[in-house]
Amino acid sequence: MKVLVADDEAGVRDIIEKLLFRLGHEATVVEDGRKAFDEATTNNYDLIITDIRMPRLNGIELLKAVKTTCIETDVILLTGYYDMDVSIMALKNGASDFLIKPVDLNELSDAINLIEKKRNQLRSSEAREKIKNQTRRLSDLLFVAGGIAHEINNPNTFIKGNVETLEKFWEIIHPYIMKSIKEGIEPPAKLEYIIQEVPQLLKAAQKGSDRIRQITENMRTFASAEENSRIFPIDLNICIKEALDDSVDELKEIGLELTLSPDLPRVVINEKLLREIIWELLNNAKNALQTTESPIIEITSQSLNDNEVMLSIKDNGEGISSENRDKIFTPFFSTHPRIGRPGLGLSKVYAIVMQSGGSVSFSNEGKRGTRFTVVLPAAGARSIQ
Amino acid sequence: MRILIVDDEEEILAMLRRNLELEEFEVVVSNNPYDALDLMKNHLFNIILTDIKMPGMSGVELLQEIKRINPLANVIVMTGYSSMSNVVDCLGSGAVDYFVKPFKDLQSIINALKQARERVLRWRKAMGMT
Repeated sequence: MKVLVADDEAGVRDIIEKLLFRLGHEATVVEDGRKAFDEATTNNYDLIITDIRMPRLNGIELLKAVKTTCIETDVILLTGYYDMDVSIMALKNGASDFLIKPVDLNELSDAINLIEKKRNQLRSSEAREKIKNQTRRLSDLLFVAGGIAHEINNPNTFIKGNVETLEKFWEIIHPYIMKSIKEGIEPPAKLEYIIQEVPQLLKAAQKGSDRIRQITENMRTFASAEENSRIFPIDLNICIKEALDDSVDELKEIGLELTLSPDLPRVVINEKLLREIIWELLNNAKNALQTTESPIIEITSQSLNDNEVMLSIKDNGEGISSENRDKIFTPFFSTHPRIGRPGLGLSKVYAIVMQSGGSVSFSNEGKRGTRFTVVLPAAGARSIQ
Repeated sequence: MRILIVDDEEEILAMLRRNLELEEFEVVVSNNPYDALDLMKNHLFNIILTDIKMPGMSGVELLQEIKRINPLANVIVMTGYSSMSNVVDCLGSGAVDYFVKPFKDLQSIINALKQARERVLRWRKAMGMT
């Protein structure tokens, strides 16, 4: 923890600083309340240990000021005598503990340990809450996405079908138009241009409609939990190799470094979905590598313990900026909006991995690059459906 | 050969009708499962192409009703929301083929209907009907 110590007695500051150092904390010491307050409000402290009687700003005033500006900072008050009123005032103003001088170092270290434990618990429950909220938000979104996919499908079915029909009709009438021209029937203006353009505009319409179909199909894949119901234990390494074989063309400019651990336990996930995870992560890495001079993707598989298998895909690309860290798994979020598909890849990975009882995380690696890590349950770790 | 197409989306009916009439099918359409079943009771349809996600009746129920009216009907199902278990249930209830909307290409659906037509014609011939 980052700890601030405020006491006007140098000896006391010294003892506490040494204790904190021994307990593995980072200590800053100041000799009066005013300095303590300035320090506390400019740097973020986990804990302040302060004397009550100090020049310029006493401990109680410091406590009140700190609790209004940095509410999450814990404060331990030290006092030279026991005074009921002062102790009540201290606790009422949010002090975490109250110790009487001369300070018993065992007592103080117990108090510090207790605060550290409490802060750690709070932090992990906050992190859990955050993940829970994210998952909930995502599942709401996926539900909506599934509904939208369904709504779009019907109109797209007849757009696509009619364009295809029109292509067929055009093939039938085209030779007749050509024949009429040959037979000298006066052609309308720009007929040549129209004849040349019609097949292309039909193809373009068909292409647009196909793209919509692909989007709705993608939305459905991760909106539908049923997709995941048929799962067999499968070999992650084989899936990685197959995914790489499928992507030979797309990855031909990129150096690949594989570290695949032999004898991996099999993973419990739908095979098609696992392929999609790998494919999406490769695709994401490839997009991040567009401006990298010697692009490299590192792929690692590893058994974490008896019941989990890890897949990690690392690129030496542009990395993820801090403002994008929270959005990375959000559907339709993309830093490369012009490339192909509209930001569904990583949210799909997230949804599939979560559905499969695994976890996915990412970290920036050094100056350049991002590593995505997927952890999946291994066969045997949980009953197989 | 007469074919019945059932879908709650009129434009899909119209689109399929255009294509199948081009292939010399006699096309009858219905935009809801109840009218469709009434039509089947009054006319013989050997080939039926139907959506399985329409308001009022599940795909399996519709299949069971169709089979009760004409056990020999060749039923091909279409679904917009590809829940595979739904399709599997329909195949288990006697559908002969299925297509996911939007169709990847129309030709495969036309081919499936042509195959059904061949089957019906062969059967009729074998039974001495012309």
